[in-house]
Amino acid sequence: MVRRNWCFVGATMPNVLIRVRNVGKTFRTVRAVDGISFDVNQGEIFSLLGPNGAGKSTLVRMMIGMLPPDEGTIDWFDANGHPSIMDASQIGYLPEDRGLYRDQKVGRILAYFGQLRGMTVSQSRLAAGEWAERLEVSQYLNSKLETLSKGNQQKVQVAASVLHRPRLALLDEPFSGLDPLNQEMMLGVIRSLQNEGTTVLLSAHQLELVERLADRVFLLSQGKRVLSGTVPELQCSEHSGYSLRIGFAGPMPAETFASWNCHPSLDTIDHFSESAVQLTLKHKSSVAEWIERASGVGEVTDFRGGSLSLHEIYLRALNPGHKPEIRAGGGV
Amino acid sequence: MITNKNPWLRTSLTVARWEFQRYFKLKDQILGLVSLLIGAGIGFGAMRLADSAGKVEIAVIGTSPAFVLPADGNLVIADGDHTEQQWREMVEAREIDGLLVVSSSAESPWQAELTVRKEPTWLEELRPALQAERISWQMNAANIPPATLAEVLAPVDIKIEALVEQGVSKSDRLVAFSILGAMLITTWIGLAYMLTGITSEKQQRVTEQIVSAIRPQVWIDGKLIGITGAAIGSLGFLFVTSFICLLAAWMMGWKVSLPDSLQKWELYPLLVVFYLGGVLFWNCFYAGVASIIYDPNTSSRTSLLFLPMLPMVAAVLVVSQPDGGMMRALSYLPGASSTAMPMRLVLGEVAVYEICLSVILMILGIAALRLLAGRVFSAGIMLYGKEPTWLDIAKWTFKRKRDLAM
Repeated sequence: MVRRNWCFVGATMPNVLIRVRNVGKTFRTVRAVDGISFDVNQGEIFSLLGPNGAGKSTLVRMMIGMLPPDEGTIDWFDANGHPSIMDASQIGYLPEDRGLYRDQKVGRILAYFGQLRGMTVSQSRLAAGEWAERLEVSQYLNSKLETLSKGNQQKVQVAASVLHRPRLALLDEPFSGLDPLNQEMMLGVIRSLQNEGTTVLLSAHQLELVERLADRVFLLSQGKRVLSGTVPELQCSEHSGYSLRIGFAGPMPAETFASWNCHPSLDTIDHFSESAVQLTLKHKSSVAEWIERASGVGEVTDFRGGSLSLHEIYLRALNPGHKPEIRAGGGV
Repeated sequence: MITNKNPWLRTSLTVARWEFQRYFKLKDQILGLVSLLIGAGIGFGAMRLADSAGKVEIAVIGTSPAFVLPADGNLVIADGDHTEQQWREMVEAREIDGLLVVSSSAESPWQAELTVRKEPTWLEELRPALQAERISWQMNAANIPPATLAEVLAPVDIKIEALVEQGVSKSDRLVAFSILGAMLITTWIGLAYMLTGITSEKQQRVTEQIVSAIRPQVWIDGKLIGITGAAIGSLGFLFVTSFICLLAAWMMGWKVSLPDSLQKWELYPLLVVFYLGGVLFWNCFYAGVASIIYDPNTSSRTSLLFLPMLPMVAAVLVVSQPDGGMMRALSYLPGASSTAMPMRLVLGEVAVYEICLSVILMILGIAALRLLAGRVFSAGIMLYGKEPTWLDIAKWTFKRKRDLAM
């Protein structure tokens, strides 16, 4: 679990790759995307988050031209920041609704997808071998896809999306079906893509991994923006807070609990045990004040806290009643 | 804005090669060919065996020297110099099938007696020969000269004067139906590949990733080329198999001659043009229909796939009037012309302008159907788990190009 005890606001703006402005889409009576605006910068990992049905896939489909937006604009820029037209061969796309030809051999599938993205036959075969090696599935190049495990099929799927070294890779759930070891491997692969100059637009439900990877996050729900920014920025946002666990030598007096519960700087308070409480502060700035307050109640035996994780911020943003939890080891 | 700079031809051929290799498996084709040849060999051997086993050997006593049994039948006269009693014993011993004794004299009328073990099934085959034998005997008895007798007994010679240069022979009709059969087989193979290919791509969720890389029209064009190639390749193997069988039959002494219509070499390019055009036309249709079907097991729209049968069946119904109004109309109608026009070319009289008109209409039909199928395909392939309504399909057909994906 990553703890960040600092807030970083106002980073310099690198060159923009895609500018999405007031984009909307309606399917019959369903408003799938509603006035969304954001920029994806060159070379960054931009994470699009949201619950199922939030409109992420529709937004991505509009970004890559598979669906025309009903309103708003989507503009692409070249490396110098000039407006440009993006060629499909410069895009790598791992869709949410995905699959490959199960009855075909892995090597053939990868080479075919490379060729569809503009590679020559020899380039695609070479790239297929390289990516199979990189994703540790090279031993299956001559095997039919259906004979592979779900996790290995997922790796082949990712390789098919990015083997042509795209300028922009849109990866929807790249960690799906992978065990923790392979999730780490995939995390490394995405970082290496970024290091090679590919901009990554990532959508995933493994928020701990997203927190480690993403330069910026955009959370949407029911087609609308909920929050956006870097993870530190989100940790300073109204949806975030600061979590504290305070343990006392004896049981905590009920009247103290009741008076703390009404305190304006506190979001939530819960009994962790008979002698410990868990607090969510509205702002980290009031930590010192709470240390002092706790010392006045009795002997403090445990005091730990930290910024909320992306997972917790996500839950609080979409479900305001959510109570965050502090895990062991998160002391201040 | 997103564009796709992949050259149409290169990308289409990439897809075509993929689709062709996906369906045309040389190993499977060779296996199919070998099993067909084995089956044909077994069938041919069984026929030969049945032929030899089916010979009926009969001994004949008292017939005239001119007595002959039908040459194309199963009856043969047993050789040997035996007495009537010995022949009878041979019948009993199953060494021969029967004994025919013809007796005639001035005193008693001409009569024939047949001795068999059981009721003969070949009696009707024997009767005309005996009839001729009796007539011959009676005419001899009436002292008619042999030349007159030969003339009376000779088959009637009919001189045929046809108003058209070539008549519709059985073999030409067979050629016409073979063309229809070839078209049916190829379109059925195309249908199977197109339907299983597109619906499985939808079910396996392959479509979105491909459509993000290439335009749907390019994809469908590649599919059309590849699947048409695979279907023609499969028919080619069937053709090769038939040719090998015919060659084997010819080598074994069977009379095999090329029908008159197949000796008109100028017809061949035209037959190829109409065949290719027809297969492409119907594959366009299948691609469009397959893209609006999610699960062929449950969709009611699969019945649409039988539509190509209608013009083909219509052509069969009017095959006896190759130059009649109905056949003419069918030979111009794109989709039907690929079957009707070759049948007319083989069986009837077709003017050059009619051929040109038919080809032009067929090309226009293919072009229009390709675009229509492309539009339906580009919207239909992205629908998972549900099928579009007819209203949706009509909307896609008339949608502005910029409102379509990619």
